[in-house]
Amino acid sequence: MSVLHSETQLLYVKSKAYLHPTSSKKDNVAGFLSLSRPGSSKSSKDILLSFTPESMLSGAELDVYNSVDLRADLLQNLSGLLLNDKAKSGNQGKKKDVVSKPPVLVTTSYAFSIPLLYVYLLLIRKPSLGWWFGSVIIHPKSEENLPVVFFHDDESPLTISRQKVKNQSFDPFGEDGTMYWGGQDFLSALSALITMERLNVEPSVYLVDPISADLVNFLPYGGGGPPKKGRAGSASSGSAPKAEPFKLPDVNKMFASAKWKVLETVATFTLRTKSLVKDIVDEHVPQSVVRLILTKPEVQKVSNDFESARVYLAKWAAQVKEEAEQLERKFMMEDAVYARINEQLGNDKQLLTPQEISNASRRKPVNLVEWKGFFDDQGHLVMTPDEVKNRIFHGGLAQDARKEAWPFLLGVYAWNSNTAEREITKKSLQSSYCDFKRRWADNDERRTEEFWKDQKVRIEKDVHRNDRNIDIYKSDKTKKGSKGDTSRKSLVLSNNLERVSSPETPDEDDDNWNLARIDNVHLFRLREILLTYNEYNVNLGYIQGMTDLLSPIYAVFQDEVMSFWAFAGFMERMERNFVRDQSGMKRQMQVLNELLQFMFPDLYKHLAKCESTDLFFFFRMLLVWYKREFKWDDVNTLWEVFWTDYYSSQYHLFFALAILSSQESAIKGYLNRFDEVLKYMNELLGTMKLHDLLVRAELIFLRFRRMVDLIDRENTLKREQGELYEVQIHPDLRELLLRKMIIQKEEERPEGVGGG
Amino acid sequence: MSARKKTLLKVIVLGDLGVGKTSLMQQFVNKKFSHQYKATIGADFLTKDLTIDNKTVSLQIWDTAGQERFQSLGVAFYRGADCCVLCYDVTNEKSLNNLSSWKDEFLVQSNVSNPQDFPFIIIGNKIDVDESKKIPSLQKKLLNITNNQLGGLNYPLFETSAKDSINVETAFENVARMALQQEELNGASRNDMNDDYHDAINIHLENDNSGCAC
Ligand SMILES: Nc1nc2c(ncn2[C@@H]2O[C@H](COP(=O)(O)OP(=O)(O)OP(=O)(O)O)[C@@H](O)[C@H]2O)c(=O)[nH]1
Ligand SMILES: [Mg+2]
Repeated sequence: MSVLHSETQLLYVKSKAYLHPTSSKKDNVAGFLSLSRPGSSKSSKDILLSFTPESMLSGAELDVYNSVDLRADLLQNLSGLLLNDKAKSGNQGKKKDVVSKPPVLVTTSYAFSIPLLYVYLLLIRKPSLGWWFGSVIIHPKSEENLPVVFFHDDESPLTISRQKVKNQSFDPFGEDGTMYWGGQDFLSALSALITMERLNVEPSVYLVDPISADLVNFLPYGGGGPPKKGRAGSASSGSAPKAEPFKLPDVNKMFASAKWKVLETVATFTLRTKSLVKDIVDEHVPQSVVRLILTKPEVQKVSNDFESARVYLAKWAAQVKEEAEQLERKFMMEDAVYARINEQLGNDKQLLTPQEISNASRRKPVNLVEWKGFFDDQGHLVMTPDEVKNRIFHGGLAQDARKEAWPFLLGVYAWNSNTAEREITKKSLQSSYCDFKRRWADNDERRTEEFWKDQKVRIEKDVHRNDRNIDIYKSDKTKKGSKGDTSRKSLVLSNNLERVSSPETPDEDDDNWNLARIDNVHLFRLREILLTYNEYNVNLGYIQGMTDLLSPIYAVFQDEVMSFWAFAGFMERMERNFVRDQSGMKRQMQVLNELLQFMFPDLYKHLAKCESTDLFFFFRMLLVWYKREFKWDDVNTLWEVFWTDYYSSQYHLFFALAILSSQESAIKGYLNRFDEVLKYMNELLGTMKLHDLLVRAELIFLRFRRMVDLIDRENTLKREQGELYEVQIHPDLRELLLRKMIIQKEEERPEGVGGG
Repeated sequence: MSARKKTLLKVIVLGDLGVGKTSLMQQFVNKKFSHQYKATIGADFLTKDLTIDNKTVSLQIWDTAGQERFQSLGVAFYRGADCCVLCYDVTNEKSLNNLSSWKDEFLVQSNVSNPQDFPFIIIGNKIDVDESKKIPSLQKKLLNITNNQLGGLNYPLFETSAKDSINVETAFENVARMALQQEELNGASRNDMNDDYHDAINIHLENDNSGCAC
């Protein structure tokens, strides 16, 4: 047979193998995973393992690939085929299954090809819930990373037919008793061609044609845990029956079973450079395992003690790194796309049309007179809620209108209610508040619970530290000419539950350090409201930051019941910021990161140089909606703007971008390190101009919307012209166009877990 | 190398909410106390230059939130820490009992190379308060915690008052001294760490045992 040097004979083909270069389905690259013998081949080590995208192949070659894929008997004959061909070399005359040699590594087209000689090991991931598609990761002996190849079994004709056959014979499971999937044939094919060693210790790893040293490296421990070595700290042969250090129930057992997980965790320690990486790690490694590591310091030495671990870690780390890099990549578009957009939308200087810019300018606040004009004499809104929101979005409210308007914005009153209905609502809210309050105020059992007492201390500490520079919250002694309601009568409980002070806030204590002593009536009511919210939302309870959210609301109403319900309404949308696992905050930081990449790629790149792409300096701003960064009045205005959900329920993220981009030249020009960026951003506190930032935020939002629009239209056009290439808008970004509030609820508090 | 410029020492202050972390730092760096520092959210740092054994160092002290769940997010600043200050409130037993979980938290997040002998120091704050408010038999409980939860390790302990400025200076001078020692260690191993990082992504197939530090 004469297979040319530039050609190769296909031995095995798996169609519908895919690369997933981004997390978007649309970017998937369909192709063939193949094993082939090149014309120059001398031994089975020369056999090429290749991935060839469908789009690279000519029609004729596609046919060859497909026909080899469909040859069901191929597997059985594989080794025979190899021998026979060797023997009858040159006899055959016609070129069977020969195609041109796949390119070695073409980054633009995703093709790759590697002789088995250079393959070190394969990591096989069966289809599972976490990894819906089965996949194989090929680790070459060299340092490069090859992309993960996914098996889309649902599209592969051969696999589907085989699954069917197995189902008919009531044996849907493959050889090893697990569900049949496309990767199995690939493994069998490989095994027929070359020695494959599956690791006992980590069954998903197959060494390809291993040399004996590799095998030794991967030998598992004899039994259970790692070999005991002299460990620091246990030197004292003291007679006292001291509790043995680091002894946890069954830790060795757990360690043994969790060994690889633990090793993966160790790997993350060296990789912990990017929060993105950490996220991925969090997904794969339960926090409990991480903790476990620390209770057993010798575990940290595992990677030294256990030589093979290093290799494994290296592989795993490479994989994590690759995935992290993909995450990093996907939100920035190519320069050409930005160039096109700038052409259409103008550059940064002239973001949008003059019309849009003038719409974005701020108007004067809505005062009480104007607000009243929005309603008829029954108290029915005569405008649409959207019109009202537009007005508030662009102007905010004057102080005198807040008390009237906030209950609507915070969902206490329905927009379509009338005065009489609102009176009824108010009454029922009053009694329902008292019900919740009684759960702690009138319940001795509750008050003796450790958890409750702890929550109370937390609340009191924070209330005491809350906004003491604001007039109503100043301590009575320093408050000049304070008048009005200074009695401690805050309770609105019906039937004689009115108390002047609660037992746990004794008046007689004169020591001014005592946090439980709250002289100021308004602070005292904050405490009452927060303790009641702790009952109202049992799963969430009290978390730091909530005082910041309540404080401006209370200041507007100065009424315990109304403040409570307005606060509870606010917390509906803010609960996601406080959930125990912080997933809501992580999510918002992630989306902000994506938005930043999309909108300001250069700024993002600079922040990457400063190791600041985790945007940690936004944590506080996002958690309590810029409460700490702006002046009191500005906070009120800003929250009103956010509450309207006028453009997006995630408008606070656009506002974050406005802040960041307003500092762009300072950041790019002067800041180079993580701590510098953090300090700089923290010190913006009190210096930012709300008005300018609101205009900027709106312009950024409008530009974002136009960009999405433009890209969508371009894509539609391309599709109509039959072109494949599309610029992707990630769903995360698209979601920013929605006005619907995002709600995430805390889960039930696990037994024995505190409010931390 | 060390003569090149002022040594930057990084210190992380941890402890339950309201034990006085912010107050301690403010007292040490700015010599002032106020009952009205807000609950810390996120993180921030203050720097202060000190002379330790004729050496000028710049102490970068990181203030963190006491609300535990906020720790799970951004903790990039734990990296490269030279010393960790664990605080409790002498009037709050729970804050004392939580010392060891703060220590663990720190070790999880910081990835220090020498967890066994990484310098921690313990500060018991608010000693100005009335004796009657303090945790009953504090010394015994403290001993119990160091023995059973902190691995029997004797971390230096200081009792302070941020309010009346008692012992704050002394405590932080010790922090600086310990941090300096660690920094010398860290400086060396930080390079190692980088190597590790590259090791982790490059694959060496040789069977070298040279890196074994056990
Ligand atoms: N008596 C007394 N009170 C103190 C002392 N230090 C702090 N406090 C008070 O304790 C409360 C909490 O102090 P902070 O410094 O804010 O505590 P923190 O540890 O930073 O709290 P978080 O930021 O919530 O984690 C404040 O009301 C302080 O005034 C002290 O030495 N003596
Ligand atoms: Mg603080």
